[in-house]
Amino acid sequence: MSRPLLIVGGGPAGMSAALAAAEHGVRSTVVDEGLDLGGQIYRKPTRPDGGAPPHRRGEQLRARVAALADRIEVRRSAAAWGVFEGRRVALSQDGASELLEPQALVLAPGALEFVPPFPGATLPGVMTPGAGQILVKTMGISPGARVVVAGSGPFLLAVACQLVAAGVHVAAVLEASPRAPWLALPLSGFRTPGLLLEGMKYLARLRLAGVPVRHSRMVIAAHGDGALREIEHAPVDADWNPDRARTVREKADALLVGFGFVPRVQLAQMAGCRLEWRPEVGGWTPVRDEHLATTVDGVWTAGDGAGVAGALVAESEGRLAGLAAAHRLGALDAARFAALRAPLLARLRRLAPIRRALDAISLPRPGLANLVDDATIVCRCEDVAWRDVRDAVRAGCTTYRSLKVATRVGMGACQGCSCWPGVARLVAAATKGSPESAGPASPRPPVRPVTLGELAESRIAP
Amino acid sequence: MDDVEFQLNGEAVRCPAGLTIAGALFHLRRTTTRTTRLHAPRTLFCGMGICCECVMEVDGRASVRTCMTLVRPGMRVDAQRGDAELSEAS
Amino acid sequence: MTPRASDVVVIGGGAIGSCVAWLLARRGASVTLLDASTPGRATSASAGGLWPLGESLGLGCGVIFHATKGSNGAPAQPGPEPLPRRFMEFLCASNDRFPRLAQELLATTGLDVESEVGTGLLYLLYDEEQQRHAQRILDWLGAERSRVEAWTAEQVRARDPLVTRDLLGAIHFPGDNQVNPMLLAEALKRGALAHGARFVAEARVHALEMARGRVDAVVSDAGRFACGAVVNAAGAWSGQIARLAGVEIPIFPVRGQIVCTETLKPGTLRSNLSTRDCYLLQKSHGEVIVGSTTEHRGFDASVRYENARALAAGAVRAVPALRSATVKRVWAGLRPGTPDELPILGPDGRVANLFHATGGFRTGIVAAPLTGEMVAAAVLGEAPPLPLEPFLAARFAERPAEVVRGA
Repeated sequence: MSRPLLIVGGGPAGMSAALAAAEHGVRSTVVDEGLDLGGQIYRKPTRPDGGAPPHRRGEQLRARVAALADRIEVRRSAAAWGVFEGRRVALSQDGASELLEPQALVLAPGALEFVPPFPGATLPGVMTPGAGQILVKTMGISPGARVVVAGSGPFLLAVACQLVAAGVHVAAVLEASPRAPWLALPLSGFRTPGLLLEGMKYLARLRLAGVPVRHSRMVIAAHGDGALREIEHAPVDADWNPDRARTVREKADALLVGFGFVPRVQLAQMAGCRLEWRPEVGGWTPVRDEHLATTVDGVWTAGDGAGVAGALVAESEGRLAGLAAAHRLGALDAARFAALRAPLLARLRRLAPIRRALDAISLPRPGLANLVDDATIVCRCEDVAWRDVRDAVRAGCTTYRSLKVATRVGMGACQGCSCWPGVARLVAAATKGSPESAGPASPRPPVRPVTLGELAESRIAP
Repeated sequence: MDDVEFQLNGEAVRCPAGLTIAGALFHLRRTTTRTTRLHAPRTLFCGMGICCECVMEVDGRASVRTCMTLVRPGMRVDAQRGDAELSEAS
Repeated sequence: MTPRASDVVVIGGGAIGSCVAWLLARRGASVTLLDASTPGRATSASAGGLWPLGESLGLGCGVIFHATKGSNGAPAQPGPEPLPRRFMEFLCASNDRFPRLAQELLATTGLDVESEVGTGLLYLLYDEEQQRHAQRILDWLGAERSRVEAWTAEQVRARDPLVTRDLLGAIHFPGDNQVNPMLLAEALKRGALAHGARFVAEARVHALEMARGRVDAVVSDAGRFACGAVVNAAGAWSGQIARLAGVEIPIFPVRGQIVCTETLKPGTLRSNLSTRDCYLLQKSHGEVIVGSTTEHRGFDASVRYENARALAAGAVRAVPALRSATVKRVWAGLRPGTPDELPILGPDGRVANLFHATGGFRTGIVAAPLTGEMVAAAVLGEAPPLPLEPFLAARFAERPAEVVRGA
């Protein structure tokens, strides 16, 4: 490994880290498992004759990275599948694996969407809002003929607008949180109008397109025989408990459902980083100091993968991590590092609370644990039904490890990424505890697909 | 750009260039990527390579994440039924 | 001596501890089973091969370690020596108990521990040196030679078509089978609960209250448990538990790493396989488990990249089609090792009400049923089904040890 700095994740945080380090002469490698840099938010369209025009900021960042090609090596479709002791990172690209051993490691893997289990959630046609966004934005493909967007959080509005702009028929947006706090946002001394204006633009576009945005309403079931045909939704109270006496069925062949984001901490965990529970930014996050250093020497994390706070925060965190790595590698002295990081820290202090105020309105509420019935699949990979998990909880299994052993929850390929945030909440509800006490999932390498042949033939990069 | 031709479950199909395999399935409105052991159909869910619901057999190789893989001309794509099957090495 | 019917505390909820708890609870003893989800517990890391013959002849997991040991250029025997014959009998007797135990647990708890009979273990012979070593082992078996079979490469492929053609033959152990070790422990635990035992999940034991040469109470993160008797089934941590009672037993952690594939179609592998590089078995659920290593890294249960690669290479060598199988997970566990590779069972001898059920090393799972019976019998003051003498902690003392005061 000739490059001293390895950055895993090429979204706004990863690109910013590479750029900041490069400005001080540090050579880095940025790896991203996507087809190009940009992460999810700045994901590039792949279809030349369809999809939306790429986000301007994403294009800017990609161009700046490309301009520094001598210092920033970019590896696309390259998946980091394991972190071993001493910052050794296993990478798979083109069906071949190698072990990299950088001196400094910045983890910027981003976040994934939180979808709690509910009846019918595994039907074809049910997907995350992000998946629907990817279809429409990068490939110009509609998720369905009659689409409902549901869940919670400002992301729903953005996705609904993108669908509408692409000509997709969006029947409704169902937001679990009540309307009043949203209306109160402009009055709450919001210091950055940018985000607010964006939200109001979305609402205006949706109104123009005749798409109802209904608050305090949640999808409680998806129905169909082999594919989604109908959704069932209900009004919910302040804790998002559905009123099952007033459910409504509505035709839909695509349901884009998501309740915010969860940081992807698997790589940090495998590296040995300590985690802490911070529900206001999505759940389990790596413990970091003010320079974004984790509890493992030489490892920093930045962006949504360390706490969900959006693209602007991700860029600033990425820069800060890049500078910290450069300082650590001896390319930036302490005084200069202090001078450069001060404005970044100030920006972060200003940005993060704003974003959090927005997210706080739509953070998951306890009622999400009341959607499952006995037969509801709670682990998609392993087809585990709620009744098995509930029985195991009653028999004393209340942590990830013990439930995995007893029910196979989390034993699939995704190692609990998709299911554990939801199952932890179900366990919390069943034991009158908190999701925190169930602990995080405990991932083991590989966290991306690698074959035995590839592993057998892999090499350690010199 | 020209359309791309490939094989889906043994049938010749075409789709615009620049689609992932999962995208192509949605374009063709034939979305099932795999079936579970209990024969329940599944398809794209997270779209970003995490949930593994979109895995299919591609060119004889099982468990390929179709949301992360671009369609290439002549590809052989088959729904994965139940567990992965190994092809006997030659 | 018979403890008061109201209190046996079993420390350790793996296969061994859960089995002891189950058997004691069924006999009406009041049992408290303490567990802690410490990383690296052997039961949950185990592949679950039940190889009484394979392991006792040194042709199971032990052969892989031996192969790596001899790799520094010195001409080494291509395999370890067999374990004592008495131990082989112990393991076979324990293995035989699995079908009935599985049925009882299914009836009591509804859990199926996936006890397979008829799987068989195949030790693959790649070269002549291995063939000669295998022949020596078979000769050592003497009268019991009929328990194993020498197979040709054709016989191997008829049974398991995906096994490599690059093979001279194999030794077949028809009586060796497999089980799901995690479900086994879970079912035993639930069985114990069904018979009135108490289970405490996150109860890391950090002290034992001693008085007059006995353990009066077990002190854990989840509370203090007064006890009439204590069973030390803490696996790799048993030495630490014993030390809390002021005695030493030679238990040390031996790390073993595993590579596990995605679920594959049933029948991908019909036999369990053992080779010089690794063993492989396809579990009930469909995953192929490839193991293992023998490492002395203290209580570090993390995985090492080079081991994962070596195990993968061994698997692909034995079954070339596995080349395209996706690896789902790599993990490591800590086996409780002992100097003579035999378990430490029964009364401690120095602390009157302390019993050990540990030291299972490579054979903990297959030994679980009989270990449970023997230790339960000792706790109840009854005659065990097989003699305990070869397994007592006392065998490590040159002379009777005195109780060491303090921790």
